Amino acid sequence: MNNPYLPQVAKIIDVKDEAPGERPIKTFKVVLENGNSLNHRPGQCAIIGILGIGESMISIASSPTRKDCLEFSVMRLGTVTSALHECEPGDTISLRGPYGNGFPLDDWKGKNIVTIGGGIGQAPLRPIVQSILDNRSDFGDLTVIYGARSSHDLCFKDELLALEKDGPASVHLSIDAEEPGWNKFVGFVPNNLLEIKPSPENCIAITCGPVVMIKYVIKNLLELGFTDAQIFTTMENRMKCGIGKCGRCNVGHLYICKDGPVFSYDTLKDLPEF
Amino acid sequence: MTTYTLPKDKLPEFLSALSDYEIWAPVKKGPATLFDRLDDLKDVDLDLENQPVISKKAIFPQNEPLFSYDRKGTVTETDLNAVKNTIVFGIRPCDARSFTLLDPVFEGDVPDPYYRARRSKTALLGIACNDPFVNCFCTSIGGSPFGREGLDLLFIDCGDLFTLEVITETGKEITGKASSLLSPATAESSEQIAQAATDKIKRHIDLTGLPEKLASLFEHPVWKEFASKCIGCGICTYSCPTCYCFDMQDETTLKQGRRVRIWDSCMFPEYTLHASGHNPRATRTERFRNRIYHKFKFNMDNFHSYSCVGCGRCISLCPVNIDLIDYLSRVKETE
Amino acid sequence: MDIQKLRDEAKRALGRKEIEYLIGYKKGSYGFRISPCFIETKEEVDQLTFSPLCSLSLVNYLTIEGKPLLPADEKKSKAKKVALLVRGCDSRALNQIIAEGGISPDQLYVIGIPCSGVIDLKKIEARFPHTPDPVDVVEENGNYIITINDQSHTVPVDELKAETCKTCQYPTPLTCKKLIGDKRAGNPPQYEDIQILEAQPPEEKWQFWQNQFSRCIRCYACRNSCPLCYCDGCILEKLKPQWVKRSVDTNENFMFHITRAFHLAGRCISCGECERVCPVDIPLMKLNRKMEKDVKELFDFEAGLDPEVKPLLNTFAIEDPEDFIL
Repeated sequence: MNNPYLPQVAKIIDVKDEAPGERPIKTFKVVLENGNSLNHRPGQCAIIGILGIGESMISIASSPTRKDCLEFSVMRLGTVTSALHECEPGDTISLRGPYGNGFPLDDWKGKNIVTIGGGIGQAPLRPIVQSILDNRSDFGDLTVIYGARSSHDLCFKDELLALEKDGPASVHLSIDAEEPGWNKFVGFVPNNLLEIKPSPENCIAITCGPVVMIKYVIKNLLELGFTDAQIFTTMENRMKCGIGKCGRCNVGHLYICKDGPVFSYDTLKDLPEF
Repeated sequence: MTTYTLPKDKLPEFLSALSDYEIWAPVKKGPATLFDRLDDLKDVDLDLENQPVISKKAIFPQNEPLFSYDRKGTVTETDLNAVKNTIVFGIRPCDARSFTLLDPVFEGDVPDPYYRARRSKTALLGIACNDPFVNCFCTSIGGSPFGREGLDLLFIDCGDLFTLEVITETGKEITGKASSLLSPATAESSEQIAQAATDKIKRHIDLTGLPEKLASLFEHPVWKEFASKCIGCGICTYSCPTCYCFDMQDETTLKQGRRVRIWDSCMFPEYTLHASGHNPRATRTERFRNRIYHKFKFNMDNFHSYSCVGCGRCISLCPVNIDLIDYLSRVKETE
Repeated sequence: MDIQKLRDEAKRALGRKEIEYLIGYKKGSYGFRISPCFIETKEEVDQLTFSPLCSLSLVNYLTIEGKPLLPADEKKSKAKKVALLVRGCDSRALNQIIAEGGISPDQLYVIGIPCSGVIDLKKIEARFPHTPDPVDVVEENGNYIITINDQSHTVPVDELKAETCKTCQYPTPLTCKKLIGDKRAGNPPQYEDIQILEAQPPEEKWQFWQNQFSRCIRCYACRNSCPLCYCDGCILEKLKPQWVKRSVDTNENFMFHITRAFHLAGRCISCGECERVCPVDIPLMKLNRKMEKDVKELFDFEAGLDPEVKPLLNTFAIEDPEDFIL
């Protein structure tokens, strides 16, 4: 019988300082040591960690269409993520998963896609963007709306700026407060969304970020005419087992690790605690 | 159903005949009666006057090493083949039934190998409750003091002798090992004792419509009132035969370490605390409410059963008289 | 004690506009149980009760996370007070916490009740099992008169009284605004049980505590029912560093209980609630009373006698004995 608690060994092949802000974020490129692929879907997560320290559920920040490695963008917050930040290329970490449902990208084919991210919340949205870019003709317009506290907290800045320049997607970056040299939107992400006013016509909107941001983004999307079923989010909670048994990540009767992390607002709006 | 009798004074011999098994039973530890692995058969103390804690640990241990690792990062899986055939003797019908409620949790989409290893190798030999305890309310929640659900064998205390009801094939196998001690029972049924026991249960609650009621009360101020006297310990969850939440921790010594899972409690703030400091269930009110909802609403949504067998331990052990029956009754009356 | 006097006093207290609510005891939901209660209006005062069944320390509710019913904006309610019933031990707990800066005395209106000791619930429920209906218990001439369904039972006090209460030195609240009933004299200090343990060779002591701690399930009922265990962020919950592993085994349980006993040295006020709520009957008061005895012998100090006296282990005196330092 397959033991879901046993981790695989993964090797770090690259570490990038993603956002040097107050709560630093690093992006780790890793490969499974046995050379296997994880066969994940965009939006799924994996539990990564260091033996002797512990594990954390982290969303996989790369699309399965990018086969050379898996990427994890990790903010340094607790015991495990602090230890991960000490890791260098060549170090090994433990990895199990993938976990959760992932985004129903197949259902979204032929549609326009809007992602609305805040802070580290762009990480789970990135595989959507990558998957669409890698299968560009399957989807309609792609709009990336993304903001962070400051320019130092923006993740994937270079690739998003490149994307904006090359034009396969429209990209709208923002920061919360004025900064010298910043000529894009200043203000909170939900407000930027209202500025951009994406059309709900044949469109799916996916948002991830701090809970407060998600709530206002959903409110504003509804105002723009999106229906509950057109809005998706991906959530997090403290997790341990990853398979819906240890109890702690529930929102109502659903477990984020197993039944999520991706929920349509249609499902979410009826859950207590949301 | 096959039924035998066993003279009470032959109980040690009966258990000796089962020496191939690891035996768990109620034992006296100081003044407390606890379920524990028996080192010596003499230690068995059915102690029918006290409700023993905690039988779930025979199958769901408080600490379960998942695997070990060394400094080089070599992982060694816990050898689940080493789990011995086990007998839990003297378990109460409610506690035996609790495993049937834990099964869907630990099986589910992704089966849990540790639970399965123990569960599949454990026989449950129950003792009927002739004398239910003050807070027993099993009959209100689908059980009974003579309930057979989950049991392989049921022992019924009939004065000088036990009547043994064989419930499953495993039960039959076990009685086969001690057949020389057993006599076929006369036709006399245990129904009268069972009825007398059921009549002794003094606490009742009609749970009809409770999940629907809870669905409409999530934001009701009654939860704050209920939780106001809770002191936030984990006694209710740890003593509960159907509570299964756990933590996973890496515990390392100089040379090696192990990843271990340990019972956790939804009543502790740390249980849901994010590394960022955000806590989705930051107050006692939210934690208390989640406990009740998990047992009486969410579990119903997910597995079509309550996560409660009516053993009453959370009521009996609560230091501040948080009385589940009382609270659920009040929930039903709340508009 | 006259319940009516208590209720009258509670009414008077709730009549004062600065008093937000009163923390007291009411009859519990069944049998011998008593429930803490939070009373906001004079109309609810008749729920109040007091009897030898009142075991839990209400002082817990002053320091508990998300204090019950306290207005969200505590700054605004600086002028507000909470009325609280205390027994002798509770009053010492209050004094100790006030001395430690954990509670401001300005926020309290303390009603004291001289206490004759509480009944050990485990003992009385073993004596009268299957008692779902509420009962009445009064103490009279060395007996408890227990009324269950209109039938009276007389049991000598000694058979049911909690062990800790049998050696209580301070049954009468030391610091309170109002005292209901007559003062009671305390017992002289008595540590025979501790002396027996002290006299044991180390191996025997080790064995004794190993047996005790091996059965601890770490439900933390002892810690959470302790009026002096009010640290915000208990050391047991720390992950960096993790002082006590989450694994529940004899070693880690030792670490937990010894750490807790040390943190209570010079602070424990001997209410004995930790021991009474323990689901596996660990005799925790033997540890706490050993600490109490040492603190008394070494420093001539008793916890919680005076809110003005600095906490013992937060202070240093040049004449402090140091022969225990290796």
